[in-house]
Amino acid sequence: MDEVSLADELGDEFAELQKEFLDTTRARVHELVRLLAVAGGETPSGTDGETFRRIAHSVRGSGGSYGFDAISAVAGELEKAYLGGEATSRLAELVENLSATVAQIVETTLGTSGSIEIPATPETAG
Amino acid sequence: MTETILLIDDDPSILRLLAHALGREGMVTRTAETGAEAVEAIGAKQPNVIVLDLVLPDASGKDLLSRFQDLCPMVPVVVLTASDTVDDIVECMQLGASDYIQKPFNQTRVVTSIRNALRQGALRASVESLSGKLRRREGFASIIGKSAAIRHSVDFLSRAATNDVVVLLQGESGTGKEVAARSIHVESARRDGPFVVVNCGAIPEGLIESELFGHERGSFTGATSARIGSFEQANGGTIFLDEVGDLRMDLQVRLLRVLQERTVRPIGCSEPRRVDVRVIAASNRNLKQEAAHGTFREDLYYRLAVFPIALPPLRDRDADVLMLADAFAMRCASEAGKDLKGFSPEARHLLEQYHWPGNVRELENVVERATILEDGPRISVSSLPDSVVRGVGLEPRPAPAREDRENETADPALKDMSIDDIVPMEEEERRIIRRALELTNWNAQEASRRLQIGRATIYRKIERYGLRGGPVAKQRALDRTG
Repeated sequence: MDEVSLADELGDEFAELQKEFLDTTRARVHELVRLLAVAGGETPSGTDGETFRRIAHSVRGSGGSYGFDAISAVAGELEKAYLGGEATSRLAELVENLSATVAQIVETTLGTSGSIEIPATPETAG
Repeated sequence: MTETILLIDDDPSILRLLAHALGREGMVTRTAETGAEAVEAIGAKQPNVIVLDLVLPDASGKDLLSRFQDLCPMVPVVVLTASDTVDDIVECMQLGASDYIQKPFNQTRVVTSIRNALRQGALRASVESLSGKLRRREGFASIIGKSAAIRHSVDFLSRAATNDVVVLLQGESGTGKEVAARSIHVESARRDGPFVVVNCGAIPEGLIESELFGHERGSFTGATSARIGSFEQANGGTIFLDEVGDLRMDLQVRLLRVLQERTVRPIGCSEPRRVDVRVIAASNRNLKQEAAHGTFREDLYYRLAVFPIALPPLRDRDADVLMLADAFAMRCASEAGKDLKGFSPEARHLLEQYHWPGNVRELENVVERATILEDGPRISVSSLPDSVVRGVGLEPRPAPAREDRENETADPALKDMSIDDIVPMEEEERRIIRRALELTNWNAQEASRRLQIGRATIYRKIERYGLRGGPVAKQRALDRTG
């Protein structure tokens, strides 16, 4: 289901819900970025690792449900990469990708800048 | 009625989206972000449908799904999760989920699934309600009476219901053997299975074998198609073999084999087929005595009499007659659309005094007839049959003139007799058998041959009518004098 048909079907209130969702998702991407930074170049583990995976899993499930399939696709890749034990650089790349996707959708949907500041990790800085 | 949907997901954005979509459909939603919150919400008020995420911070969705089967087994659960493994889907469906939807989800799909679940829940509730009504109508609650005799029998029936054993119901004709058998079935774990009744005495001899065990196509002349026998029809449930004492000896052997081996072999079929059936047998004869006389197989008797239950005659249930009469009157009046207020005091007295040889069935028939005949607000003596009025020593009403004319007959022996000379059939039968026994010097075999009835039948009648005076009694008398 695309954004237009969802909005048509669910009405104006849905636009409000989408806005809320995008705000929440931006905060979640911030949290992913923070967890990567806290890990200091390593893959988040322990409680942080569980939180990292849970956020990726949750965004994968909810993005498409709000009509943002692109968000679900990138979040799905991120969850899979984390569970598959891929390199931290790959996780950082996917988080950056997710951030850009969310920012682009925010800009398109809400007409405001949706950019999320990504702090440099040792590998991405390198 | 507004349906309430409990949404369980740790992601608030999912909860908001679902609440919005379902609210537009007129459904009320409640939300829980943890397993603990969900259990608390269900404890406070059961929803109509649960939507459950499989990954929660404090519990596994699958564990919760199992727990819901105990907490609220009637409430359908739709699983909504980002997990897409086949194992998860299969496991959830096995745990009783009504549907499984993957995230990201299509809202139309979710709404459709919840609507289906609501229908499923309503259907479950309806089935449960009907099943409850059925249990009240056909279970132990349907057996009316407070007398010690019937309460004792009901106690045994309830024990039989909870133990999957062969039951033998014994009691006079009309004591409610089929009602008792049905109540055991309805109250047992087999209640969702079939209840098949076979009256062994009412099926022609040539058909009884096929009726019980079935036959293959072409197994005998006229078998144009295969037939499933009663035992196979009752698979998973209960078979009630009424008047089991009337079964032919060869079929008694076959029945014994079914009880021993739990298999049946239809006529013309070489392979036995396994059946899972509880057998409840019944007879108004004394099967133990018939087994001793060799007219009923002793080994079959002991197989059937694993849990014998005696159903008392109505004359031993004095306290129950009026209670039963009132219940029958209420039911019959309701069916006939009449506003009857029970019985007149005289009629009640008469019902209490009568000895009811035909037991509950006779009482039911008497009340049904009286309900039809009665024009007043209460059933009066004039609506009760003469047999009941005379049975307690009262003079019956004078017969109408037209009835007298109809009784006119060419038989000269009847010219000196009146309608008052008609006696109950049982009394007449007792007199005929006693006369035959006396004329044959109490030779039961000869008497049965002359009367053209079976030997087993005459022994049964001798026992039933308490006929004494034969060689055994004479021998005993000689022993005493000698």
